[in-house]
Amino acid sequence: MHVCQGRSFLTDAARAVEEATESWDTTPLDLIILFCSTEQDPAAVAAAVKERFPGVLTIGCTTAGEHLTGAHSNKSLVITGVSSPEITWTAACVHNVSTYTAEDAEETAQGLFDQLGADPDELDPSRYFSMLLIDGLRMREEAVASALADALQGVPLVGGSAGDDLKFTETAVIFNGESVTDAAVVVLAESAVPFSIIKHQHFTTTPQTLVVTRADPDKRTVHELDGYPALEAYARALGMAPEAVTSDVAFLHPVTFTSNHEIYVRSVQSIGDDGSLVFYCAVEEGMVLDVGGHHDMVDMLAADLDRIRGELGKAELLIAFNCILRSLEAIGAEQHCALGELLQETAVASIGFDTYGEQLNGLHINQTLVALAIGKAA
Amino acid sequence: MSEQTDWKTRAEAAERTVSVLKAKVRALYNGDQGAVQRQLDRARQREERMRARRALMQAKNAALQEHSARLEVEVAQRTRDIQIILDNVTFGFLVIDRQATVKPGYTRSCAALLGTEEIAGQVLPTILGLVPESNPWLTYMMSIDEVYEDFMPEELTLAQVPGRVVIGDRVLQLEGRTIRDDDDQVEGLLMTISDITALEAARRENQINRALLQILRQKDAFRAFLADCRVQLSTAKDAVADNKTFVRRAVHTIKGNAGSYGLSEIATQIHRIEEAPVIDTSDLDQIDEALRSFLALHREVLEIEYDELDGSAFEVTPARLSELELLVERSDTAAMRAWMAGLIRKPASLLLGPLDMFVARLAERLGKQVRFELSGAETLVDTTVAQPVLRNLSHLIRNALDHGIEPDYERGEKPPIAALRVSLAEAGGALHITVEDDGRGIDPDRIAQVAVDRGVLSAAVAADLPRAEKINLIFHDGLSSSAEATEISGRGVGMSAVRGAVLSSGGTLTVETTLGAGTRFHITLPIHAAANAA
Repeated sequence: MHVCQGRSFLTDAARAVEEATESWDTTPLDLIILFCSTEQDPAAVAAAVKERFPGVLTIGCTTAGEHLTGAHSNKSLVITGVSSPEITWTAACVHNVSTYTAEDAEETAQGLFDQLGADPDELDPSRYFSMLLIDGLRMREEAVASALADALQGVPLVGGSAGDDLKFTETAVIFNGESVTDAAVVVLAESAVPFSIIKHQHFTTTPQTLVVTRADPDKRTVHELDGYPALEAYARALGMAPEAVTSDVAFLHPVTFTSNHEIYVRSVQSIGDDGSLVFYCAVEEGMVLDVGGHHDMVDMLAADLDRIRGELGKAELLIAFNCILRSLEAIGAEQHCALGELLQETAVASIGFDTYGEQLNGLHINQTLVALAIGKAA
Repeated sequence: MSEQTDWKTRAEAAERTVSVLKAKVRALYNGDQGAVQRQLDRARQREERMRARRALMQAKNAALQEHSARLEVEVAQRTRDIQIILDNVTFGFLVIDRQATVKPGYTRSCAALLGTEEIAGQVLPTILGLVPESNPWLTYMMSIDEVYEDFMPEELTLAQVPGRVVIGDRVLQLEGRTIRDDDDQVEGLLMTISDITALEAARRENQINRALLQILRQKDAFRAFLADCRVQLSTAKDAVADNKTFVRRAVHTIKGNAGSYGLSEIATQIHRIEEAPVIDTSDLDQIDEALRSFLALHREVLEIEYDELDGSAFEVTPARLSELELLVERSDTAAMRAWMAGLIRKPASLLLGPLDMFVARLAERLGKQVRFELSGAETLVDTTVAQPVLRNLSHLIRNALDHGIEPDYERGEKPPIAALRVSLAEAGGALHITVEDDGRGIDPDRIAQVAVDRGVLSAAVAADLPRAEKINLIFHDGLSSSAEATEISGRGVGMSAVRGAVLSSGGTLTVETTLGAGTRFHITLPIHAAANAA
């Protein structure tokens, strides 16, 4: 595998693309991955990449922060070109995620399998993986990710929800020269080299519990916890006055939900004027939530990445989907450098972005880091 | 807020919480886990299914590896057996005179080897079971006479004496050496006789095991080859009466590809069919049967059923089919063509077969050192366009190895290891295939001379032919520049088959050659079948 990378802080899309890719050699590319902030116009970025690299499969999205081989940035464009004879990549753009159904997912998946010439019934799961980049503001990740995971016959799926630098107005995905909203990009790849999926989070439970007593699951909104207005109960559980609980505080104190002894984080995306809490992923009445406790981010990530190094050795490429809340926490604790170094020890090259939610095997989760690590040929 | 109302608020909140929890517990008892839990459960089930599938694939791969390992052990064992047989083989020595009569003084082992007690004074071909005065007997006698005649070089005349004789179920090998008197006249012919029955059987078995090993490693490609054979044979049967060239090409191609998979017995059998002046339906049936019985014999290992192979079938899922229905309704021909094209694009490697093994084996047989490079084998190609050409690509490679690349001692300043490159790439809306060697290049005048010798051209026409057209004569049917058809480079139908396939796929074929430096064949093919093509 041969990887070219670049970053630019220029706001003019064409010049940013040019600057980020000017040092690239002429190796023919199989895939281009790019992530850009709201400073760059995604449509112009997509068009510029298409013009510079005609015919190369290109995927990407808007973000809330960008990662490129060890370094985190904001307001930038990061781009990676991959030449990988060991991997056959195919991708499709899904329009209208708002109305995307399980039948649509079947069709998307079949199209991808056909492009690979793969028989879904005879798949060797150790040779296939899939990725999802999806609009981050339509609250459709649960439905789309689970439908796709089913349709893709359980091929490992990792992905992230596009961001817009915490403006919460519009996010876009990029597919072959175009920038699309209310859309998703699905990648299916057949790999002759080993790969591994990373799922990482650094939260634990505390004895403080909250029961969701009134919620609007479609809007991921909780109106009441323990029979009180949600914000009031949440603030009390944190030992704070309600007015002190702003979204800057809330992201450091997510609640968790335990199912089959596994901990899932539920983070607060925003606080409503009526004292309700809007979450980044699914909530419903009767859920018993625990107030989350922290482990050290760097220590926990080091432990999880150790496992990957044990499996693959140093990976050739790592594609990471990092929750925006982890990124904010890392900025606050000045840990981005240490986290970046860990990723650099894990993979020769890496690219990623700060998401509005992560997808893993059909689940939509948040305040995690999920990633795909691609190893060397045996 | 008074203490009383505070208590009231807390009591109400507690009541509300309890009632929500009661409802939740009731729902749980009634089997409704709620959407969040359902989603988590589905994710868990998916992971479970994936684990099961991974285990199944691992088991399958393990079984395949076990077959492979077992075969490897067998190959190693047979190789040892062959050495043991070679070490212990019994040799008999006898001397014959010009009339092939055995002189007294042969070794005792001859009697056992030939199965006759008293052999002195008897005629050797008769002892070997040839009927006196029959054609084979006479040929044998004449070949002995030629050795004594001593007119031609000894290596040539000795090579004419049949060296392999089958008596009943035994195979004997006979090697002659001349005994010369002081005047250097042949005064006797010393024959060394050995029984190579066991050796041949072991070698054959080993060869089959090696072939099976190789097939297991490229099973999909092999399956594609077989499916293609079936189509070729059935098309050839329809053409037996009126398109003899097509039939001959099809047979020739199957022979080449069978050989590239190490199916040497089948290749030899097809070679015999090819030798005959006429190829008829029963010959094609014979090839069909040979392939079928090979698969039947090795069904346990290969798990391929000949009669279930269908080269022309594509699997279409119901979802894809409904797409098509929609396109048909809209009568959107362009979209329908794209739909078809998507369906039939496959990696070229599936159609190419094990080219590297093929080159390695052929180079070894020809005693040439070659570094083979294949690039772009994973390029997706439209099977209807590319298959006829790719299936014939082995002719170009065979040609390069046999005629293009020189033995290392003739390579002069060039690196002693020759280079042979095959590349596939999609560019500029076309599929490009190149076969390139750094061998001796094509001599246009020599090709023209061969064409004149074969009566293809008159000397006058040949003299006026431009260089490029002389070179293009290599694609002429029946014009192989080597003296005779061998199992390697047939009877000059290979190159014409390549060109025929390229042209009928709507492509172009060009040759660039520099004498002493090498030859490059460049094929371009359309990415998709033409709209009006069948």
